[in-house]
Amino acid sequence: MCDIGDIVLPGDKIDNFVQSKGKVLLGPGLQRDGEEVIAVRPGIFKYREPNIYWIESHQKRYVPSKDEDVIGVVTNAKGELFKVDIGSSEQASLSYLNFEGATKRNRPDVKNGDLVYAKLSIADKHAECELTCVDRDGKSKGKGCLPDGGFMFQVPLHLAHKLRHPDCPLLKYIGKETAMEVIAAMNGRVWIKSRSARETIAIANAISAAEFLNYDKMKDFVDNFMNELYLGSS
Amino acid sequence: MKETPLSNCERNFILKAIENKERLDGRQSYDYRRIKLEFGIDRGCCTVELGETIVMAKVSCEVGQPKQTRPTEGFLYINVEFSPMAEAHFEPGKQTEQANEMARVLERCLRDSRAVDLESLCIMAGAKVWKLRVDIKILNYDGNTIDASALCSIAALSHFRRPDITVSGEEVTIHSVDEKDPIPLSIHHLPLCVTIAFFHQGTYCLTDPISREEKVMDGKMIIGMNKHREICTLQMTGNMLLNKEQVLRCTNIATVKIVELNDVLQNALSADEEARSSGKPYGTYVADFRKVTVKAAESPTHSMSEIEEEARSMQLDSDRMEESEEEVVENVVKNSWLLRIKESKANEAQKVKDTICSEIDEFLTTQREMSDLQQQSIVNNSSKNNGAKGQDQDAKTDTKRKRNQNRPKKKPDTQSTAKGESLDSATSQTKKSKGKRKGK
Repeated sequence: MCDIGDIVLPGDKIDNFVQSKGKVLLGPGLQRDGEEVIAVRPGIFKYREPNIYWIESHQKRYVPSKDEDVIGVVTNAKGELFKVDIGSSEQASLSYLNFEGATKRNRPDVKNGDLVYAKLSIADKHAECELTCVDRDGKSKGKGCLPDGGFMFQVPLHLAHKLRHPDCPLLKYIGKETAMEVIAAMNGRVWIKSRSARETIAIANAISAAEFLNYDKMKDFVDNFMNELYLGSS
Repeated sequence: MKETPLSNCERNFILKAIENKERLDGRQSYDYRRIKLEFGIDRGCCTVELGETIVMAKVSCEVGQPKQTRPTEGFLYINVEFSPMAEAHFEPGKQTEQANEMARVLERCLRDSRAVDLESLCIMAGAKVWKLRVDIKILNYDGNTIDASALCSIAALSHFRRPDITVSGEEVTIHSVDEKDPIPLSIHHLPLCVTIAFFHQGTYCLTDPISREEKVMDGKMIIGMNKHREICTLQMTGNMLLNKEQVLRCTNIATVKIVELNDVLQNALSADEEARSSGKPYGTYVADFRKVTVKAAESPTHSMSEIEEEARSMQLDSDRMEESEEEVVENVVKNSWLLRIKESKANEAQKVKDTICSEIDEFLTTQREMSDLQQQSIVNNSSKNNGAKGQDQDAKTDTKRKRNQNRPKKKPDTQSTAKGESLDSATSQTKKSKGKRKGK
């Protein structure tokens, strides 16, 4: 009835799965109701190999899920467990030992209000989420406290997912125009650092404005936006 | 759910950007965001979008008993609610401090300035009056809800029609819409609010702050004013002090912005009338202020462009103030609020202002007296000891005083120094003005 890439509305029946063999995974927005699958969210019907289906919709509220990379704001840096706001309904905890090179004697330098880029090691419906800034070998791999001088802003979740997608050329094009560091996290927070405040504002606005752009339109968009609107007039 | 905290990195960045005269959405310091006014199919329903902030107001009326002390006056009640749809930490049905403050500011702005003629709402003296109720709901929150809801509520009130009535003896008949055309409220003037946010202890000021700017600001001033430059409300909140000149400059900025907002309101109301008469259910109007201000600056025929430039040139660093500007400010004082506040209730704001001013004046005079006494004692002492030395000392104190006057105002680091400096600048200015008066 509805193909991949179609817009579906809550209550729509979904019956043409690409592959009928094997286990079918239903992602966000899809629910099994007896023998049939129905959409419970308005959005775009998406499919990924081998057998994963979900609906991509506009969402601002973040629901934590395991192994996702998030940017959090430290709200309580005292004691053994730091409290970190990751934009979900409850705050997550981050042990001071889960930083690269941290030992009981060597405590990481974290203050209230600092930003941390971390991975969710435990994400459970019923228990507190836990974060970690190291991988299995104790290496940070870019995770940890974010340096001063950057700027963080919130974008809708689907835009953050789009930015993180390996095929998305937006950040590549912006990177050609100007030097910058950028982190797009799964909880919709994007952190950027560039040479000046003006550039940072321009990049932030460009990213926010690219919410509904196709990949092929991004190049022209970035050229126009960065040159005419901000950098060109300075 | 808890409110999302503001990180240090956002705070530092916003403050740094404001120092460089940049804002997060690329606006100028005194620009408003895009404003969209949309009226509902029902009369007296209005939605205002101010950038991302969305506010809805609905006016309703019912018949009730008047107060015994005011038997011929109707009621105007304002209720503000922050919907949890606007932001996750707003709880439904909970009376928050923010909502109460907003309701009170709007009440002062609309009711206490007598914008709506409450006497005309009387049906039967001492027995029956119309009770108006404005319900304001914040549908999406991105800062500056006061300006949006003031615009929204006055638009809804001007759009509202109450049912017609006939009184025969003791009997009152309320006619339905089919029987008789409903009648508009009698509205004397259109008060609107302008919020000015202060940063770095008043060194930088912005109109129409977004929510992240509101989280960073030191304080804000809400100015309620109509297009005749009559101040209806004036409220300042936050941990900071301003001197008299800064308050005046804010009112100058507000006069310009009020004219723009007033135009938006009038255009929206006429657009709705047009839409309704041509058979459409309701009208909408969109004003993009960034374009409006650019146009105003370009065309010299625009009547408000002068004041606008004036307001733009009036930065808050007090050392940039020159004598000509001072005269302008004085004229504006005479024209705008000192003489033109006629309404008795509007004097409330004036009183508060006066007390603050007099307090500052008192403090300054005592300070001046103290310093004079000190100088005298120094002079006396030194003249007793050694005449020549005393003269030397006198000259030194003189130069000191001059240096104090000429010292450029640096941006204050802490509140205490800011206090000292602002008072300092005020002393020098009062001294100047005193000298002037003597000269005259």
